[in-house]
Amino acid sequence: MARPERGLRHVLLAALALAVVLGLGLRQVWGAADPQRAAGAMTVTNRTSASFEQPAAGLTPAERERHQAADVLFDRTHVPLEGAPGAGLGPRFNAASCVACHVRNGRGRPLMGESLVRVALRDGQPVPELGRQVRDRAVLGARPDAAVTVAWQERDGLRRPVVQLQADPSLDLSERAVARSLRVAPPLLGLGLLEAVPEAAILEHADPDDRDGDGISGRPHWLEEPGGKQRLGRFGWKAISPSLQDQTAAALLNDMGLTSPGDIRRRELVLVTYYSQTLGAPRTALPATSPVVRRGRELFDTLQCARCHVPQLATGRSPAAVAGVINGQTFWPYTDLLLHDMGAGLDDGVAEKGAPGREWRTAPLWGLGLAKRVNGSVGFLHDGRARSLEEAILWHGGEATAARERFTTLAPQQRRWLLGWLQQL
Amino acid sequence: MTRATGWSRTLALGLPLSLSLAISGCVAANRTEAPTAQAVVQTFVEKVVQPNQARLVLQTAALQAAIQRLSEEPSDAHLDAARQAWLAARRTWETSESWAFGPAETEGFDGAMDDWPVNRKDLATALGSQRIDSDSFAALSETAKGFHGIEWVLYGGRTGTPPTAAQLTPGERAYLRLAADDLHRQAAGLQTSWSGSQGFGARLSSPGEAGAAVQEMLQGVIGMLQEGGDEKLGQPLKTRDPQTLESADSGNTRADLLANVEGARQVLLATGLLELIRSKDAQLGQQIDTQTARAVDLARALPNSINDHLDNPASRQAMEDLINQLHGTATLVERSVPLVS
Ligand code: HEC
Ligand code: HEC
Repeated sequence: MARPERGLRHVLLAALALAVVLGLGLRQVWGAADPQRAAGAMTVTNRTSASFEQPAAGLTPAERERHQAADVLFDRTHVPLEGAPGAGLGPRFNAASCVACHVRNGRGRPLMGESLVRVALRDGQPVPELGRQVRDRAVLGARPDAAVTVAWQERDGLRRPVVQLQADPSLDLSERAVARSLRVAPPLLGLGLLEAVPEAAILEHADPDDRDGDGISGRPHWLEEPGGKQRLGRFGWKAISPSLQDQTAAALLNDMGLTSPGDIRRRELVLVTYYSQTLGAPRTALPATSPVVRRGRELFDTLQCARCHVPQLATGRSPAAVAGVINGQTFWPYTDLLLHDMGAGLDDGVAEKGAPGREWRTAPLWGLGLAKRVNGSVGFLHDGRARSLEEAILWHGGEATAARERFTTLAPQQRRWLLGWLQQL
Repeated sequence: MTRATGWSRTLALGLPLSLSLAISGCVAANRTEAPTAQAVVQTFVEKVVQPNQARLVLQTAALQAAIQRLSEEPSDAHLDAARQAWLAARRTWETSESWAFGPAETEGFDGAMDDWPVNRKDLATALGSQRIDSDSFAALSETAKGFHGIEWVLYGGRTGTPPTAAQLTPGERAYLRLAADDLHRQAAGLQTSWSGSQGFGARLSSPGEAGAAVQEMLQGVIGMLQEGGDEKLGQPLKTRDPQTLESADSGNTRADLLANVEGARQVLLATGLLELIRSKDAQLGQQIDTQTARAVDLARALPNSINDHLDNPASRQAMEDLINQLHGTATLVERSVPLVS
């Protein structure tokens, strides 16, 4: 009688042990720290061309409804209104809706109507009568700041944009006098999470004087607020906006000519901001255990891409979070939200809020593999110059020079692993 | 304790999962005549999308011709013929809403043909003052062109009452010609973008991509159902503002919505997609069939010219019924996505 009992106990113990091992393994794959769940509990499983337009997972029904109401505003095309000149859209503007540039919440093409041009005098001052952004469209009866055309200059298999500005001849907009920076609309992913990363966690990655001597510094973009307060910049290709609401307000005003409170009430500003705060990011195509992911990710580390494209960040906990699910998430954006000197190749000579022409915020890489599906022919980097991921990497210079050089010496098979990994993000 | 919860959670998760896998495995193993995903996509591109685009090209050409006749000889019969031509092209375009992904969005054809609301202010200025020529037409914003710009003039958006042919000004007739030319050009551009061995249609149906392409088709239907509910009907119902109704000038909102839903039925029924879904889950396939058909019925039951009925309780109820139907159907279709990928 005793024997079968002991046998049973053994089987049970073995089953228990197996379950523990399995459970731990599955926890690693399924748990909070699974890189396949790029946006943690806000991860979107849809990987169709509509992926970036999905509300984040994990919203409550009420939050989801609010997101849907905000979506209507984000999609809304604005028109000039009767009444005072400048009521509604314009008088000068770049595009008539948020989605016109953030096409399907993805990237805009480097064409006017989906992108914009920032300018500065060669000494960094704003351009007289034009300011810092060229509004190349106008409502009937008004004049755009300038007409913009984008041409491409091809060298050694890479291309760079040449932005031409045409305006009233009394304005000197020559290349010699005015630097110009073409900007495509970046994809809108996991922004609520990026906004909720505690400042201290971002500063941990900063190394402005390169104390560790790895050639990579990383500088927080401190923005001077009126009154001398400093806020950390997070959004835009140069991290010139400290919050999504600042970014949204700037878009309404500068890109569409909508003034507040005249054209946009505060309630609407807060609501349309909510839209970007409650977007998710797509689940990666392959699980962490797949060979492409393991090998690609390993190369990403050894090449030191991950020094800037920091794989994992975490949000804090705040009672002020606009959606509960934003709190306490570990997620995988592949950015440090810091500015880096990217070298002369990417220097377009336009400084913004103290960030010189060569400095750019590390671009988040999540969703990269869906770029083509969402937007068709896409360009990477701030001005859409890179026609492929490979080209984007080849433009890396400055602090990223060593990383680029290591990339170019990869064996073909390794290169395929790295790019294969990026393509499934 | 923590470990125990770890694996008990695993078991709790794993057991129903493996059970449901086993069950769905049994259901999936029936039916032999379901088309492959590859065949579904091919049929979709060749038998649904491309014929629709070809029809739009012909119908926008017919609209051009009708407007040309109207502007040469402004009779009420010619005005009526132009309106009929607009309605015919409009129906074809609205049918395509479920496949407005790809170049329609990424190359801007959708915006160029169907941006909305109408830029009334600029249009009134442009048509009221100077002679409009191709340069000044080109300078107008997208919201002053396309279907809705033409509609605004043909149906009297400026005055609020449909004009007689004699009331159309020379400026308006010139604008109509330019806008119809532009609409036709855009329709032809959209057709080209899907055609040929390098076109979007070929890329969508390329071998090895069928699973993703079928998801794309379903997502197109889901997006249309949601937009119909949230924006096209939800906004006007909420705000009671007739200006928030698309195609209000022509009183065509109901026909737009009907064409939207009929287009979704085409994606499901004319391609074999519904058969494919049925082969995985017969009950879900049946529900999708029934509920999309019901959405068609409810769209048909909307009043004509909803814009005049936004305060009428019966009309509001009809709108609300359709909104709920569209949302419910979207949820059903969403459930089919994992089955066919
Ligand atoms: C004319 C095109 C255009 C329009 C219209 C536009 N955007 Fe943008 N958007 C951009 C560009 C370009 C950037 C990057 C700006 C920079 O580099 O400073 C951007 C950046 C952003 C970002 C920051 C994303 C990030 O990753 O840092 C958000 C959020 C955003 N836009 C939201 C909006 C909203 C909301 C609207 C409508 C109210 C809008 N945008 C309208 C072009 C546009
Ligand atoms: C010194 C910091 C740094 C290092 C190291 C670095 N990057 Fe980047 N990366 C950036 C910055 C900054 C940008 C944005 C530049 C721009 O827009 O002009 C960027 C952009 C990109 C983009 C384009 C993203 C987009 O949305 O357009 C890709 C892809 C990319 N990096 C991949 C890599 C890979 C792969 C490596 C390693 C071989 C690497 N990066 C190393 C800082 C870095």
